[in-house]
Amino acid sequence: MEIKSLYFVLFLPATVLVYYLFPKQMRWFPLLVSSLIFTTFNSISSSIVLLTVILLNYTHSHQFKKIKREKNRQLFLWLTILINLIILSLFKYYNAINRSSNLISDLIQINNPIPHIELLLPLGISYYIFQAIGYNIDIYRETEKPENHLGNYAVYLSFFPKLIAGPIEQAKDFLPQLRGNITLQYQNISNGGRLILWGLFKKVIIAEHVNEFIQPIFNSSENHTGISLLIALLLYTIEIYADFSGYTNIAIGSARLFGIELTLNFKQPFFSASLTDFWRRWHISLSTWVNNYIYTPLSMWTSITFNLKKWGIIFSVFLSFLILGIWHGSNLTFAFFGGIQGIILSYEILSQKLRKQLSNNIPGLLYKGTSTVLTLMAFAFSCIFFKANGINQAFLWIRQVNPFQASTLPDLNLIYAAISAIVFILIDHILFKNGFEKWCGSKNIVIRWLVYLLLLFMIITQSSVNTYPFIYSNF
Amino acid sequence: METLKQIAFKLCILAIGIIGLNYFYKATLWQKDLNLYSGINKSVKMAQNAEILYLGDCSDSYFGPNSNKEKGIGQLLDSLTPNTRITSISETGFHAGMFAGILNSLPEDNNVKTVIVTMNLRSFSANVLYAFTANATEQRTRMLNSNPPLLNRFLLTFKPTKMHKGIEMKKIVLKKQKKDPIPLAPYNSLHEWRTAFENGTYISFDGSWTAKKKKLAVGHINNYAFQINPKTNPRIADFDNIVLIAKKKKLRLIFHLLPENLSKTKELIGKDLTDIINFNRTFLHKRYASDGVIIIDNMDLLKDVDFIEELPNSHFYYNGRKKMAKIVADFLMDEKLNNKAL
Repeated sequence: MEIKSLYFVLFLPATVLVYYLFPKQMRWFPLLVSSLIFTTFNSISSSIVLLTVILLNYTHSHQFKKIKREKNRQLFLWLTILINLIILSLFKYYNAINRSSNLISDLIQINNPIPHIELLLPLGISYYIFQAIGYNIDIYRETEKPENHLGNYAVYLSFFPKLIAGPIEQAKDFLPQLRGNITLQYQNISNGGRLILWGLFKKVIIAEHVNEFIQPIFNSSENHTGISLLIALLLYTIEIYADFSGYTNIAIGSARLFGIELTLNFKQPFFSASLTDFWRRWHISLSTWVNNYIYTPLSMWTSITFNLKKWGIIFSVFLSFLILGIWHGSNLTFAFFGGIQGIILSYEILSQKLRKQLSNNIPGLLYKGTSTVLTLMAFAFSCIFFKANGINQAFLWIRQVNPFQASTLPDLNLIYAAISAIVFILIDHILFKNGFEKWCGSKNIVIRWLVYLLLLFMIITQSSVNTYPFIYSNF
Repeated sequence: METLKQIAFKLCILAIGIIGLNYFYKATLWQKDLNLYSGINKSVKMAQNAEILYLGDCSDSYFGPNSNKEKGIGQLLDSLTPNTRITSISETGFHAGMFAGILNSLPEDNNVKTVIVTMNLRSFSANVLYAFTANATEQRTRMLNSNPPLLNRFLLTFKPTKMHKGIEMKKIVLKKQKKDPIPLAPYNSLHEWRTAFENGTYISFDGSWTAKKKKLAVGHINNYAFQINPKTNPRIADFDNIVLIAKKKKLRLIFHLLPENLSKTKELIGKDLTDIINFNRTFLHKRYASDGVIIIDNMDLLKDVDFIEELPNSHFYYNGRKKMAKIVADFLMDEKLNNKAL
């Protein structure tokens, strides 16, 4: 089920109504059923995979306490992680592996040993598999107790507002809410509605319109060089932000209608003074997951086993971000995307002292402004690999994006789009710094309703007739 | 309880706000959007000054390769009735759903008294109903529905028509052809009959049956072997809607049933298929005559030589179009002579 669809517009309030009609201790039931309906709308196989992952991880999470020997517990954890990764890889990377195997088989003239099956990516698999892995690690570490209620656990993995593209929730934040006493509160309904409205605006008005401006440039990049391509690239980062944070707003808003709080995924990322800071504000739930379950154990391991301090950290950062990149998909470009983040973050670790000295000698505002612009440029550069369909295309764009070479003049419409996008970022990052819903709450009823109606009017009348799925729903 | 009251109150404000937005939209962006997404604004403007409006499909807009400048049925009709202002609106892919939208968009202060709507028997078949051009036109009709304008605009984006293409489209058509019954025992569906024909169990193929002739015969089965079900056929719903709109707008309604290449059908398949055609033809007469609609039936007017293609289609050579226009013009002139209001 598409979020931007009549079905979702009808499905969400109907589910909320049914949810509050159920007795409090049974409310997991409508949530689970609606999540399965939501998933089945995508495909029945998506629901089957989801249910399999739920049952598998529920069963595994209850085995840890039965295993006494630490070595065996550790082995069992690895087994659990491995099974989850096999399921994820099967759907996410099988087709790519098959294609590569086909190429190699053709080269060495043998039959491809891997059978040809076109597997469809089950809805949200990358997100709930990561949640399931994190949950089992928490159980193993004994920072979390296994959830006894299968219904609650199933909702934790399948809750439909966050199913398509997260946030990747941690059990300690999510499960206590399901066990708690959720009552119908006006504030939740009103804030939820506001967030959904703002999220839809970001997606439908900003992201989709920016896409319509820049996609033709990327499609015929041979005719667009220098500044045009650079502007398109910078706008692309804004498109990803508006698209993904728009989805997150809708997810958080929808969850709030059920009285459930989801993790914040974005925190004014374009005002970051370094890439380290950026990743604390961008896709927070994924970077937190990577930090908790990959980076921290890895850096501890390198430090204890090899007595590596700074270089151990650098190695861990690089590998963590490489994995983060690969998580996005099987295309090599995603590995480059992650790898670039890793390289820049490593540079930031190595140049910490130097940058500290520099910040002492340069006026604060100038230093912060320059750092913010450089951070944005660095991220935009890495997004070349995020956007490109292949490595060759990415390197072609890199060659063409050089703003100092003779370049085509940007189209006036592109400049307008860029100005509008910057205005949007300023409003989003400054005016709605504490959240759109809180900003609305602080205004009087007339202004508030004028804003609602204006947004609603724009969403309905200015939305594109073309269908653009959320970018992160592809991962 | 207090919470419920608060929520209900805000929902009421929202509903009032949306009604207000609808009026605002109608007064500001509606016309622009209507033209942009349905492309009929110009046509409607042209139509409102006509006395008689002729709504045509590809029969009125496609005249064969390199024949773009020829006159369509509606234009020929206009030239044959010098004292009556006839305007024709036609486009390839137009169908009754689109015509209903056009009629619905006619402003209150129009001069139109009579509307002649092209009725194409083949357009009731799964083969045409689910063709890609129909999909694309379906999208355009979204903005022409009789809903409030803001709702139409919302549905245009939030409930886009699925554009079925290629294999996916063929699957949909095949499903309908397997499911929908036909009045031809022992065959329960078009699919069964077609299979029997292709296997040679329906008729035994003699030496005259070349691959081309077989393909042509199958084309006729695909286009005509169906039984209109008034409850499920979406085209019937479109024509019913046209009748309703015409009544509401006090328009006199004429359905112009287009010619089909019946002699070719009889030659290729025989009486079984022409009987089905006549069965559906009678059904349409009965259904709409009872609603006061006049039906000008030109179904068996033309000979093989008047059709542009061999496969069933609604594309006619100039002579064929002129013969049709003449019949319709004669009817209109008789009406005028008999002092019946046009």
